[in-house]
This record gives sequence, structure tokens and C-alpha cells, in this order.
Amino acid sequence: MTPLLEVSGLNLAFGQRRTPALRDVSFTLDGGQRLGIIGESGSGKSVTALAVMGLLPDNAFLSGSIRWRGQELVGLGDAAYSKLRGDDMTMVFQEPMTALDPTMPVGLQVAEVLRLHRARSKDAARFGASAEQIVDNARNRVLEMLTEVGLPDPGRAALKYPHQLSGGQRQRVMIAMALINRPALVICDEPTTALDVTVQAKVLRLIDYELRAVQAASLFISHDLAVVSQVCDEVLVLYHGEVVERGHVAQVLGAPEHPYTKGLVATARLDLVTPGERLPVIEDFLSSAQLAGGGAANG
Amino acid sequence: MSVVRVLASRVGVFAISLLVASLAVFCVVNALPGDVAGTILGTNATPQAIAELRAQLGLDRPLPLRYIEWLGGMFRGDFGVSAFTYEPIGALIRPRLAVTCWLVFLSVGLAVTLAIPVGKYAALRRKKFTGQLVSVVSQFGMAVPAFLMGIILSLVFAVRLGWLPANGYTPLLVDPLDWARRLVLPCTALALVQGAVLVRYVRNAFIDVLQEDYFRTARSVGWPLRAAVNRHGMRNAALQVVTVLGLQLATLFVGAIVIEKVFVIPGLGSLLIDAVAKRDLPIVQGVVMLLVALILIINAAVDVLYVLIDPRLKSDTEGVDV
Repeated sequence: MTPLLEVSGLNLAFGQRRTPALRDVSFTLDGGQRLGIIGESGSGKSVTALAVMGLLPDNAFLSGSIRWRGQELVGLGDAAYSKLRGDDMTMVFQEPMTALDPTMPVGLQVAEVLRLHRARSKDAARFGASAEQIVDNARNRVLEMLTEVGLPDPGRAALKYPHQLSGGQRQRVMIAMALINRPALVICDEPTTALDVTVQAKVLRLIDYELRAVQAASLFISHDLAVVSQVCDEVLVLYHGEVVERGHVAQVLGAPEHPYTKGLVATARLDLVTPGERLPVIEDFLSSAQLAGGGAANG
Repeated sequence: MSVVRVLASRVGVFAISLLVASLAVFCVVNALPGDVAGTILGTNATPQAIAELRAQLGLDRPLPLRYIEWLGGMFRGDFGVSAFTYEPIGALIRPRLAVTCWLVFLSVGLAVTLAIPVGKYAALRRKKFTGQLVSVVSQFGMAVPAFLMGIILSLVFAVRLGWLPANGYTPLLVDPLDWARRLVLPCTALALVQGAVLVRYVRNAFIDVLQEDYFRTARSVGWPLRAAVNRHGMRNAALQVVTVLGLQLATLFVGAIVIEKVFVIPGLGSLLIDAVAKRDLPIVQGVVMLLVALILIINAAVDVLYVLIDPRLKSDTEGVDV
């Protein structure tokens, strides 16, 4: 069986800079599977997500292969890619404060995603639905979705502008946008990082529940090991643009093999901190050769 | 803040600005060297004759009194009379204001119609040759003064090719076709220069939008590039462009004077320049006051437009996290 997503030999560099952002990154994702991507800032987590979505900036040089249900996405035209995005493959971004259009009510932004890919009047007309029914159906579906993501008073919330909602509420709207078309893959790029800790837990539970409800696969990007272990089955560790480890969450986080992963796990163990003592840093776990050459020393 | 309150505060600011401006205009105009009585009677007039005429014109009375009279007159719509011809200034200004308004609004309309698609194109292709070519051409356009553009257009299309009249003006209601024919060249001259400036701002506004997070979101939900720009970029880019547009409109009302001279159009500009040359202070005061009022109205309109475009200005309540 072809996997849902198959990334192989992905290399990425930006503009004139010689240091590549991704080096020979390969992984596969089956339907319904959840893969966490962890690594520090600049390790290539977000650009991996953007590469899959085909949303890299113009100055990116991408080579390798990204196959979606067997179809090659690298080099796919914008029109064909746009049909996939938001429908079969969606994304939840990190920045709830700025990721929604400030000049449009949030309900309309959710409805747009639905209308862009579904409820085309021609299709509906073929089945004998009137224009009013289509609008009603879309409306009901949007309200249903806003209720599902836990927005209080969805009818009124739909008419609000992003600045009238809190960060958590905006992220719920983003989740509604990402899930309204029942996608096969939801890429979550640090979806809870910008939120308060208490809100984080609630939004995380919501994402977990929603992904299960539509049986979507997920690429879940985070620098937070606890978050990844809560949501994901497997985890991929990126270091300086290279995959250094992949395996089941319990296995990788319980018995890390790569020195970088060991460091990552050890630095997250707050229960081992003795007050007054120096905290461990990642560099303690890397040899001097690894520090100097980055990930290349392992390659 | 509600829309009503924004409007009310704007009207208040507008009224106070107008009052302050009227005082400033009055002081400056009366402080100008030169005397209308002297100009009317010529260089050989005796001081006695000049004093008599000054008394007749009311120029010997104290300045505060003259200011209050002038202000009160304007409230009733009476701008006074010309010091030379005794014609009511209101009747002098009205047809000329219409001419200048046509010239300015048609030019700005044309400039916007040109600048938005061109600026958007330049933003989308900013890294390609064609996009950069647009930027360079608009730079050149900015460097050319409007009067020079007017002269060039006039030389080519009126003198050389003879397609359009070189100058003059016909009121719209007298002969609509001739009215249009005579406005083509002056409006194009103003629009090309203003449009070139506007292209730069439109381009920058769209480049900003392309880098926004919500634009990436729009792309991620499946809008193709151009559709995303139109759907989620226009309104946000408009916020930046409206500011510049307001400034340009204000500049044009004053700057149209030069183009009116080049194309011999009887607008406010020629009235003002003639009045200044003759020291016809009542007319100068009236026209300058009108221009100030127009600029204040434009500024107020821009502020109202902001509120209409940007919902964030209407309320600032934030939700409670749940």
C-alpha cells in the first residue's frame, strides 16, 4: 500500500546562503498516523511543514521528492496544489494573533474554507438543492464546526473579528478552519506554543479529539517533548536540518540513542533539577566534533 | 469606540481646525506687503487719495473687527466682494471650484485605476525582471513634474498629432463631448505623475501583505496566489494606500494650479494667482480658506474611511480565554 505521505531525500537551501536548511530528510506517514517532529529552533521543523504544504518562499531551492498518495508534489503547479491545500491537507499555525485576516469576521473565514472546496453551487444544483439551501447548509456546517471546537456562543462568535477573540479562541477558529473539510493530513506547527499553559492543555486535548474524530494523520511540530508524547505515536528528531532519530515516542524519549536526543530529553527533566545547581544544556551531551560540524559529523 | 463617536469627535476636530486656520489665513494675508488701495490708484496716487480709498474699503478699521466680520460673513455663505470689481466672491469661486474639482477627482480616479493593478503586479513579480521594470519606470514618473508632463503631452497630442485641443475649458453642461476632450490631457498629466507615486505605495503595501501570517493562512486553506491577494490582500493593503491617497488629493487641490496655468483652465488656481498679483485680498482670503477647508474635509474623510476598512478601530474588546 502506498503511504499517505512519503518524503525522500529532501534537500532545501535558501537564497545565497550555503548552509542547507534541510539535508536528505526522509520519512513516511500512513493514514491516521501521528508523527511528531522535534528539534530546536532552526533545526528545520517548520520548513519541513512548509515544504510539504508547498508554501516555501520564492527564494527556496528544494530538491528531492514529496509524494502524496503516490503523486509527486515537488514542482506541482499552484492551481493543482491549491486544490489539495485546505481540503485534503491542512495546517494549523503557531501565531494565533496574526494568522487570521484582521478585516474579516472569523465565521466567514471558516465558511470560506468550506466554500472554496465544497458546496460548489453547480454540484449542489445537480442534486436539486436551491441556492438558499446551499447557503443554509454551509452556515449550519460552520456553526457546527465552531461549536465542536468549543467556541462559546458560536452564532455570535462567528460574527466577531479576530481582535475581539482571545488567543485560545483564535486558535480554536484556526482548528475549525483546518478540520472543516475533514482532511487526511493536518500539519500542526507549534499550535499551542503561543498560548497560556492552561489554555495550551485544553487546545491540545481538542486537537487530539478532532484528529481522532476525522481520523486524520498529523505532522505535529513542537519543541516541547511533553506535548509531543501526549499527541503523537511516533517521533522524528531533527538536528541542523537532518533526521537524527526516528521511532515510537516511548522508545525515543525513554531510551534516546543520538546524543542530541539524549540532551533534549535530559534538559526537559525538571524533576531532576537541584536548586542552586547549574542546569544541563544540550551541548553537554554533544562531542566537540558534533558541536563544530553541526549535524554533518553524524552523516 | 462606536462609529458615531468617532464621527462626532472628527467633526469637532474639524470645526476647531477650521477656526484656527481661518485666523492664520487672515493674519498671513493681512501681513503680506503691498496694499490694494495703492495698486488700484497706481504709483502716482497721493497719500491722501490712498487713505480715502482705504477708508472706503474698510481697511482702516481694527484687524480683530475685520476678522470677526469676515468670519461672520462666511458663516452666512458670504465671502465678501472683490476689492476691484465688487463682484461677490462666492459667485466668482463657485464655477471655478467645479472646474478644479473635475480636474482633481478625475485625475485621482485615473491614477488609482492605473496604480492598483500595476502596483499589485509589481509586488507579485518583485523578484522578476518585469516587476522591477515597473518600479524603475514609476521612479522616472515620480521625477517628472506635472507641468512638464503637461507640456510634453500637449506638444505630442495637441500640437504634433492634433488629436486633442491644447488648452481651454468648456463646462460639462454646455458641451459634454468638448468638456471631455479638453480634460483628457490635463487629467492624464496629473494622473501619470500621481499614479507613479501611488504605484510605489501600492507595491509596498502588497509586498507587506504577502509577508503577513494571515496571507500564508489564506494560501494554506487553498486560495491560489492571485485569489488570495484579491480576497485577503486588498482590504489590508487599502489601509496603507488610503493614507497616501488622502495626502495626494490634498496636494492636487493646491498643485492643480500649475496644470491649470499650462492648459489655460479657469480653475481656482488661476483665480488665486490673479488675485495675489492684484493684491485683491478678499479673494485671496476666500480661496485659501476654501482650500484649507477642502484639505481638512479630505483628512476627515480618510479617518472615516479607516474606520470603515479596519474593524479593529471600531472596538478594542478582547475575548476571555476558554
